Amino acid sequence: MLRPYLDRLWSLLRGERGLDEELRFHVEKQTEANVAKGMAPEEARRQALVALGGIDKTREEYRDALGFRLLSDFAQDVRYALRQMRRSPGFTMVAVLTLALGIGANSGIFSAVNAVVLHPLPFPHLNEIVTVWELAPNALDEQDRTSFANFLDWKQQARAFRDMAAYRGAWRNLTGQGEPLVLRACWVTPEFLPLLESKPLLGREFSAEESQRGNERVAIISYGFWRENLGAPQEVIGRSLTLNERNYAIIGVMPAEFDFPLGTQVWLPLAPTPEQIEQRGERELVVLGRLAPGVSLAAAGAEMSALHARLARQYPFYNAGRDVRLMPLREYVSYGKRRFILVLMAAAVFVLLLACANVANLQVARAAARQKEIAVRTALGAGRLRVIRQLLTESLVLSLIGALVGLLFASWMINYMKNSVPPDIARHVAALKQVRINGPVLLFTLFVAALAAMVSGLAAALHAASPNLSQTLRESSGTLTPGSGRSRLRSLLVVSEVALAIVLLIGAGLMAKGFRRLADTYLGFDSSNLLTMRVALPESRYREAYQLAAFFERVLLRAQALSGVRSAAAVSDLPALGSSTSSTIIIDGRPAPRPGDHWQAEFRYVSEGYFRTLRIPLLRGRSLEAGDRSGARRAAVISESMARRFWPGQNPLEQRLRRSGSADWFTVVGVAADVQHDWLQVERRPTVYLPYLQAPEARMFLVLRAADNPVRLAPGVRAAIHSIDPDLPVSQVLTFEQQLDDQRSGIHLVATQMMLFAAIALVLATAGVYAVMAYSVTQRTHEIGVRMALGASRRDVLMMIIGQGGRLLLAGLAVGLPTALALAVLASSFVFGVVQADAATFIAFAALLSAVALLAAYVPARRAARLDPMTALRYE
Amino acid sequence: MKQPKSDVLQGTLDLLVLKTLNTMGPMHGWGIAQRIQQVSEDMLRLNQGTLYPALLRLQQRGWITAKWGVSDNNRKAKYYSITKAGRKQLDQEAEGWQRMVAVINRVLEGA
Repeated sequence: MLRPYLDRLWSLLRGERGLDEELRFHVEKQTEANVAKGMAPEEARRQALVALGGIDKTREEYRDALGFRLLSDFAQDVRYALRQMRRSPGFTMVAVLTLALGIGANSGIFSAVNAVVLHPLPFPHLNEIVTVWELAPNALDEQDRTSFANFLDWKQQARAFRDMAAYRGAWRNLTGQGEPLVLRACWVTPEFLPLLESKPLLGREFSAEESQRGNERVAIISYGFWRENLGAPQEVIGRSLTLNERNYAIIGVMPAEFDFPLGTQVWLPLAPTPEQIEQRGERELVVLGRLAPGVSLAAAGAEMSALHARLARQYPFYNAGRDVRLMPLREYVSYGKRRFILVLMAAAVFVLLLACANVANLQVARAAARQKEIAVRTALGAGRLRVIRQLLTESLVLSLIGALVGLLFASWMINYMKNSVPPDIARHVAALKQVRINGPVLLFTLFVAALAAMVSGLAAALHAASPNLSQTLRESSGTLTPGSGRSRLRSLLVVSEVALAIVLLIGAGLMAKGFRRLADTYLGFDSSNLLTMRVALPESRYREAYQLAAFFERVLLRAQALSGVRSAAAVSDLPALGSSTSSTIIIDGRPAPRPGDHWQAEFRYVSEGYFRTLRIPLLRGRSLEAGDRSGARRAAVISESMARRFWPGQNPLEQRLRRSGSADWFTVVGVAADVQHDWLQVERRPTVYLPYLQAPEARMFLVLRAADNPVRLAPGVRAAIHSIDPDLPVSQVLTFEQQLDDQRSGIHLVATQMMLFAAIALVLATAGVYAVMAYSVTQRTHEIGVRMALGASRRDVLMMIIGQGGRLLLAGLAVGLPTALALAVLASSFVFGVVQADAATFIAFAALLSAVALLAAYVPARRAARLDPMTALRYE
Repeated sequence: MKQPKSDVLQGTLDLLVLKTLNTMGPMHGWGIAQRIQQVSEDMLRLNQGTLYPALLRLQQRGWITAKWGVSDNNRKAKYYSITKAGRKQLDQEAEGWQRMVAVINRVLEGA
């Protein structure tokens, strides 16, 4: 039934070209015929053209015929559809709203897919840009950054790339501009901006010379930093910035849309020292490559693997067992968010299918009511295809209106999504700002609407056009088994609705439950009433280890003395928030680990009050103490999982270990309970805690346990720090709970959205069951009357109708439950660990859906049971 | 269903085309024009140009279909053939035409 439209569209597009060919053929034939009659060739051709008449007029007439019919038919169908809709406003409203929910859900989620997954960064050849990672030689297959020397070898030897660039993020302290600030800085090689095909808005890019040691004191700043921190002066180029006590001249300002790596405020040239260039062990660089023309991702990956295998043979100490993996930049920047968004997209498609099934159901019912009208039209000569086309056009008009309303729903959803992402997280989601209803989203909406029109209208259209005029006439005077084909169709629709709804309900339930489980997991410490902040000491003024130690010792003393502070501690990395600083360990008296042994442990440098402040129980031995300082024997506290992993069944106390790459041995003095380093990963990693007084760090977090509201402590601690060093920026002053909530916001958002979709699904499925049962009761009124007259009790009638609904429900569950199980298993591998299939959720939601659906069947069943047999018998 | 108003000549042309295709089988445009002129023994002066828009309209009504093919001396040509709906239409129109001719004849003779 689409064929005529498509054919016509095709010839419309093809236009008169077909005609021209045809006319040329005609003239040639006529000329030949004329020549055969004895004319001279030229005269023959002239006569042929004369016989054809005015070609222009022919062409014009042809053109009119091409477009006119197509448009006039369609316009007529649309007018007719609108008239039909006005005639049944109830049906129209329900159908439009249902479609609006289905289409709107898809448009809303697609706007996120479009911005965050498909176009996270505004680079013209984003498709060709990949990130290049080393793969750590352990079971986890972890992606690892690379070293400078490896990067230079890659860049020199790889043929698969037009160019390669490297960068490394860092925090820099900005001083000399009022309140000291911490800036997100990024060191980049000179190829960085050219590779991304991005240019500064003001000023220039880095030159190759500026990546030479000694010329590197130049900076390019972000648009946001230029506007918000500097006040957007035009004459910014040449100004000086003091970062970690060193002066950099500003040479450029990037445009507002350039935000890579996410949140960067200042880009600096990566100017390695000669030693760094030789360095293979320190892996700090993220590498970008732009694929050469015609090279596929797989081909480039194969080349890099071979190349790195050569490097592994050449430098086995550093590279043995390591492979290389490529990941498109697009995926890298939306990593983690991608899966969630795609799961939501799948859920939205389910909602759409459900909405379509519901509307299809309504359409079938209405087609029954319109049977006479259609029969009349058919009798008057409308072809079967014409009727189908008419019904589909009606369905399309409904869908398009539904899409308009749906866009309102979508924009509400987009606002909700944007508002529920906390600003600290929003910074790390590429293109979140770009999530909006734009051209691609509108196009997608149109596509979805057309699809919905087909899916929801096809069943009714095909059925209505089945050429069975005489039966229609007979049916209109009540029979015992009305339109058996039609009720089979409607039953099928309801069964699929129940199946779709149960899949969505269980999916949402599992997600919500997974979210709860994550939020409720005990992290291994008490995260309430904690305030944390980050302090980084610039190396210019804090060069020596004792200076670092002395500073934090003084700060902790003052912080502890503040009123409202129960205890204070310092730590190099906060737990539970996903940061990781792991190294290979070496144990005294055991052979050094071989590649693949995975003797990895997390290293944390802490002050003696750390375990007390976080309330991490000590299981054996002693905690770290104030006496564990430089000069004394080096002490370490290890985690329970560490003890189990490396000293199973033995006493780890008094054993000595060191961090690979360091010569200092530490003696285990105590074992502490495990804490989770990443709230998303239940697995507990072996951890070594070393006293910062024996191994000082320049960058530490302060952790304060407050008696009550921890936020109130912030000004006091800031003042305490600035009383020791007024030029020191204090950043990320946040409560621990706040940071956890921020990190959980993504999953929370997804779980909420899923619940919304599930709620819609429940309502739609219930409406579907109700509509079919109510219709069925109306259709069977006569039959019910007969049954009652023959002695059926009201109870029998009630049970009969409920039983009919129950059978539909059971069939739906029989299809839906296994599907839900399969999808849950798939999703649990997809949305790492969040989803776990459990019987309780399955049973609970199957029960919920059953209860609601049976209630929906009960209402019409009761009406049937209350029928007066005499009235029912007379019913037509 | 409203249709664009067609003058008598055009309606007649449609009838002639349908009849030609029904008796002759698939033909290209020039062949149809030739045939109509032959059969009418050149009594009908057909403006060959108007044939093509007419063929398009007949296609759109679903009475004929068109397919590109190769002509006798290997040139590309569009071949038209009548459909089932076209045959039905031909019957109806032919009948209508006969009736009209009869009526007009009666009027002319009676007057």
